[in-house]
Amino acid sequence: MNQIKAIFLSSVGRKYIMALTGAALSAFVFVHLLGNLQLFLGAEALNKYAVLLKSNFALLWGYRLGLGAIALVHIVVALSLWVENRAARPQKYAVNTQPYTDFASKMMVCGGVAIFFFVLWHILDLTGGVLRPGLTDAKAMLGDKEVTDVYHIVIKGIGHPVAGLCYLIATCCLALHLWHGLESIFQSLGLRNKVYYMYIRWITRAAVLFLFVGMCLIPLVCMLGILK
Amino acid sequence: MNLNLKVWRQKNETSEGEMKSYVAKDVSPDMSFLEMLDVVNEELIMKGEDPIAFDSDCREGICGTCSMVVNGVPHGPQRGTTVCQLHMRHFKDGDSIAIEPWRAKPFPILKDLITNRQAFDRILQAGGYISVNTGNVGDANALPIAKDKADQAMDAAACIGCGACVAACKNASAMLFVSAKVGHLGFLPQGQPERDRRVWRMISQMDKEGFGNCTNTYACESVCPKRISAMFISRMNRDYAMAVAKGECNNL
Ligand code: HEM
Ligand code: FES
Repeated sequence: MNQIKAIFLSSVGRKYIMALTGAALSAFVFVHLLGNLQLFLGAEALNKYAVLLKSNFALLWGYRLGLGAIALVHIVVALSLWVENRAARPQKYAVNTQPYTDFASKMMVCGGVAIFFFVLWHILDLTGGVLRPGLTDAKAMLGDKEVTDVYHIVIKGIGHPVAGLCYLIATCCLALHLWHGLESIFQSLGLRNKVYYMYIRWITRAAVLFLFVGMCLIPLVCMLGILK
Repeated sequence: MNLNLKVWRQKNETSEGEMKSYVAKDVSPDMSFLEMLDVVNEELIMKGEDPIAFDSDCREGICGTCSMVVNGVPHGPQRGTTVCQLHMRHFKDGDSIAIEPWRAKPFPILKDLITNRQAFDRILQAGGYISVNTGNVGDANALPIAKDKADQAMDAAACIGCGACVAACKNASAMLFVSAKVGHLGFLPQGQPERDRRVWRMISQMDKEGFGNCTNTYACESVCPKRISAMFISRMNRDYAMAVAKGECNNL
């Protein structure tokens, strides 16, 4: 009990929670991207992958609920820290330059909230299919079975200029969040030291760059009609 | 040179403060920042006005008493330097300089630029010590300590407890201070018996004082006059996890 309190109520303990939930969400984001890049392998590859993802009901929902719970903890703890941080400086500086504070770290809460609303919309639109009626009804033949034509749903759904723009903006927010966040994981968990810190910095930044390029590529090829 | 100052004036802990303008005339580039304020104060006293109250003691960068935010940067623009060691040659004739106190809830402003930093003392009292009968001075090198450990302990021990880390942090977090104090004992054999208890108690006290939470921004290490590294924060994060895992939190 005291241990749980020491983690969930202390400043340092909640940093572990942010780091662990952040790491789990990041792992998901990277796997999600790798999966979606199969768009470039053609309709059959992506549709087959979509069938695979939905093949086990229990696994699918366990995964969805687990990820949702992790995201919820990440957000609630982030907001609790944010409220305390604001209270710790009730009076702002008259010259409020926030020296040596990089842009990415200032944007963690705003960017995070933007990501939240984007994810909500993204799920309702492409997974739920409730925002654009008919969008997710497309069917295709996979061998002799009729399956959801995810390939063309993605190209049509994300290829819409307004939707595509939202994906590009959200990608910028996510990349900025992880630019600070991925490196932060190591500091929060006490894994950053004088020997490894440069490796940690450049490997995490390279990972974010990969994520950024990959995630921009998908809406761009859909919007520009490069994939049909 | 002449400088246009804007200084935070506040009568006492409960009154509202404001930025007031002053002109510092005939400032020599060889003066320290505090000497420049001394000159302004002499003029204010001559005119029968209340001099600007600010903290200082050693004026050689080792005590950590001086504490002011110069143009938004704790201890001013020169990195690795306390404001008492900041010289006026870093400024130009006609410059505008805004001077404010540390701003953080656990550091209430007592008057003008003076804040009450007893929160730091209470954190140290919570665990920033080792419990031994010191007796006579021991033989040098009776207790072998590896060179790299001794160096790191020294780096952490350089902390003068001024509070610039809190002042610079966008969250007013005290993690750099606490991690330096946890770190300098944690690297040494003498610090090991109480290592878990120390980190648990000091962080608990830090949280009680109402400092903000670290967001790994590292503004603290950039303004630290002793250039203490935020790596110590990472090490303290690890120590805290070990202390909690070993059940130190059940012992209070
Ligand atoms: C509503 C959504 C979100 C909010 C409000 C949010 C907010 C935050 C905040 C305030 C921090 C701490 C910032 C700091 O320490 O400077 C943080 C850290 C982090 N976030 Fe998020 N975030 C959100 C979504 C996400 C998502 C979707 C991911 C992953 C793809 C993510 C990954 C991370 C990582 C890796 C960290 C670093 C953990 C650490 O500080 O050690 N976050 N987030
Ligand atoms: S007065 Fe002692 S450090 Fe500045």
